[in-house]
Amino acid sequence: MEHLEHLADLLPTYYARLFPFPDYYRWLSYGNANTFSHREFSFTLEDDIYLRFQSFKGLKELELEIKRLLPFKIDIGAVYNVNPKDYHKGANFIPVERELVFDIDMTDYDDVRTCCSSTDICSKCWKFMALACKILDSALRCKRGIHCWVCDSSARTLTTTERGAVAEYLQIIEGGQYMKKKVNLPGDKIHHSIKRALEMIEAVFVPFCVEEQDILGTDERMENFLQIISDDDDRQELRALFGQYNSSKDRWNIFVKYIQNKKTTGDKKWYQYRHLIEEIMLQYAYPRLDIAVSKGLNHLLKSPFCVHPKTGKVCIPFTANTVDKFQPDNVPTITTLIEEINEFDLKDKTEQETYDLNAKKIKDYKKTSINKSLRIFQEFLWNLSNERKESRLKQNGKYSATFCA
Amino acid sequence: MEYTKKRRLTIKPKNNGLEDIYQHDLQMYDFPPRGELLLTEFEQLAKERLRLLQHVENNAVRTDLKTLEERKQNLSTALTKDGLKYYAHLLYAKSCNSPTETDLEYRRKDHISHFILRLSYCFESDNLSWFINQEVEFFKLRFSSLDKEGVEKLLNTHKIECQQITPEEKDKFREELHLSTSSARVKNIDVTEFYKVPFHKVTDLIRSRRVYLNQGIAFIPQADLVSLFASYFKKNLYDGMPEARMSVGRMYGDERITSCLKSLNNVADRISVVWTTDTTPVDKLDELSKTSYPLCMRILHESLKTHHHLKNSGRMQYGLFIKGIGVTMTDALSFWKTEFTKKIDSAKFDKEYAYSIRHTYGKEGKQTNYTPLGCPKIISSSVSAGEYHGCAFKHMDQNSLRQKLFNYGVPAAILYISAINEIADLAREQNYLGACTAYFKFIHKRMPDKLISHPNVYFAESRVILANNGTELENKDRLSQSGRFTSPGLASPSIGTPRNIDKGIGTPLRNTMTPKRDRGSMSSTKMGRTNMTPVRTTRATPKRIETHLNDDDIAQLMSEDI
Ligand SMILES: [Zn+2]
Repeated sequence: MEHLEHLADLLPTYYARLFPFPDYYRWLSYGNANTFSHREFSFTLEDDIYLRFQSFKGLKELELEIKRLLPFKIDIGAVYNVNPKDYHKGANFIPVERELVFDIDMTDYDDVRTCCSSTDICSKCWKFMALACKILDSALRCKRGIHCWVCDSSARTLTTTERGAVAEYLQIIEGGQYMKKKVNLPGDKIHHSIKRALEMIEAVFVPFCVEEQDILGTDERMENFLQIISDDDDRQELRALFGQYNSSKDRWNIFVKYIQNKKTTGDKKWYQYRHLIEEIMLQYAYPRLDIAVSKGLNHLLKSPFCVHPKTGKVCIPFTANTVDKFQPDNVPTITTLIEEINEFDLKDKTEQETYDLNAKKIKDYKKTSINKSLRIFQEFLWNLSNERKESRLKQNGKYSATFCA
Repeated sequence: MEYTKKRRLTIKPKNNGLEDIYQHDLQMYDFPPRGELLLTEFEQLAKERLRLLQHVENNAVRTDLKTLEERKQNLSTALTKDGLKYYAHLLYAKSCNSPTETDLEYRRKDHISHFILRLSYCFESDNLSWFINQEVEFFKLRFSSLDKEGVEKLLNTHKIECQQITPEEKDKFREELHLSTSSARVKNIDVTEFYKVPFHKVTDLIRSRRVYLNQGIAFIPQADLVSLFASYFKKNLYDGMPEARMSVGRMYGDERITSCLKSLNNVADRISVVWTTDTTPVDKLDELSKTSYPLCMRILHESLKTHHHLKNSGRMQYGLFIKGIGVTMTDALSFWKTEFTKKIDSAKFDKEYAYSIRHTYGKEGKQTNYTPLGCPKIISSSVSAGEYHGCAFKHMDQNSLRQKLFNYGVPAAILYISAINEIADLAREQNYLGACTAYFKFIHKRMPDKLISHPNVYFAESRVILANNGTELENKDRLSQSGRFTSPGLASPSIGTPRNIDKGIGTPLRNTMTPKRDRGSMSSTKMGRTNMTPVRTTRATPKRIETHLNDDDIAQLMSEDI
């Protein structure tokens, strides 16, 4: 992890030349100036000074304030009934609208991933995210990432209860430290939405979880796995069986065989095991959502295009289609972006001579690796404005964007 | 609605018109009653309705009643025993088309009494949500008694957005409908009618994944129509509240009515917190966690001591509990800080955690004074990986629960194998309160006097019993011998003895409920401690969004429907 003691020195250039203010404004105004001016922003300044309930009349004011305050972090809150800056202390200050947001925290995968832990993330465990993206995408017909923002108008106006219902509908991994089996599918059948997720998981489960993550590869991992089996006798037998094999894959296969055998032999425990294989696959690979974030209207969430104060990585959008190719290590950092501009400028000396901030702004993006992300963002904005045009005729349509933490 | 000043009830020719007004056994209460009423009847109807709702609530927390029929039977018996035969009758009413005079009279009482309680419960949001929750619960039970005709009649008389699906649609989504609808409720897709409704009208079905959802439209089978109706019913009730408040406003001149209305919500005997008014010193918590904590709190305490950390929901559940047992805010701050700073530095603690602790004591943000969470709230909480909160009997699997009970030496003297079995079996049967009571029984070697429905009630019951047993004295001796207490005065038997009782169900109460000890804790000597760490200007007090909830999140966490 690189050191960023000089973030304060880089931010003026970043906000002056790279932060996409016009597109950012276009997004958050959703075609309505009030939607923007009633939106809460919060800034974390240098030394952890934290300012809540900032709001801005328009693009100009936002741009000026950000360039003046140089926030280390920007969070986006809800749209309120009145402008937050002047009225947040009033009695009738209520949130009225917010994107439906999903947040996935990589630390929640610590008990099922073996490559990293805590906030670290490598290309192996990015696959958990990639899978999560695809599953949520098919469930919501939207695109999301670590933070998924569902931005269409019907999603923005959901109530807290409705958000909670959607979040819980998608949340199937439950249970704390003392609940080893975290997925329990009721009834004889598996709900359509879970079935759909399972199809995606089954396609990658063996190469990804069993082999690469090596979930049955060591004694400790086997023990963790066996804790999911509540029946003492079966756990013993499986433990003994696992001992006869060496690879994670062989152990998984013998486990599947063992459970399926319960069905063919008409074991009276079969009912208890009817969904076990599916449940375990879900426990190891289904998206782990922080549903508190999705439920609230007024939860603050990190804004896209802001810079991570420790790593310097820029929070950039991506789509479900490109998520497999997305390399968490290759996310542009503020340092590399500024270097890219400088290199480009060096090569293109004529441009450097007639250096004019405002005229060159668009070009500055294009000089850097953030360009691709901006194109994704612009495409999403285009879809949003189409939704607005269409909605005058009919309702519905789902457009959203995805932003990487 | 208008209650005219005249106290005479003049039902002119008997039941004239009642049959037109009350066409259905099950009402949506979408129009107020008209006419005149004797004040005595007004009072009696109101009190009976309140008793009804209390029975409904008591019935709803009975996790041991498995089937709908059992629940209804249990409620019916309780109502009959309490002299509320007409409600027992309404509970099973099918909406017969040719009502008898008795039927009509019952419907009238149902109607009027509901509206009187509206007047009493429409002001305070805690009261209101309690009232509406019980009314909705009763509505659902009654709905289940309706025959096909009864349901159709209800559907036709109220504007309920719902469209039966066509045979073509059924063919198109056959597989999805089959997979997504419980076979216990729907035996055969072909003979079941399905209805399309906007998903936000049936959030309970979405939440529990009981119906097929496509593009925001839920496909609900006939058997689940109750969810749709209940959601309309609930909305009706909420929408009617401004009108109810205006009606009360118009009655202000009438002292007798207003005092009657006031008395109604004072007597509501809800799941109550028992606040402990004496100060409990934090160095007693280790001991108390073993003798007097319910299992959920004992586990939280143990996890905190072991890991020197608890995630947010765990801090809320445990933090409010110790607030309820008489730990002052200053002590709570130092208690959490002592533990957390074994892992993080003290500046980080002050920055990231101190705020939310002060907040639970009503000292930050909106200054709401929060009440310790009750069992229904705890049982319904969601628990994720790495978390220890929730109800031990619900959120622990059987192996972990048995292991934990064994480690905690349940019980010391009796045949512990059977004790563990008894508790774990009750938990498996989802009788969480029963399991908790059994745990109490084995720890204290006797049953609690009160029904355990709140961790702080458990604690209070335990303190009373232990104080009477003189166990406290033994403890004191033991503790002083171990040298942990230099002053015997600290282990005074009065510690943790419950004093005042207030009502609430784990929802935020305004400052009126602030226990007196809070003011004491702000005394000048103790204020010094909070000044130890330099804080920037209050305007820009640094805090981290990721690590603590903001005010609204806490308020929401505390007030969500169970
Ligand atoms: Zn990794």
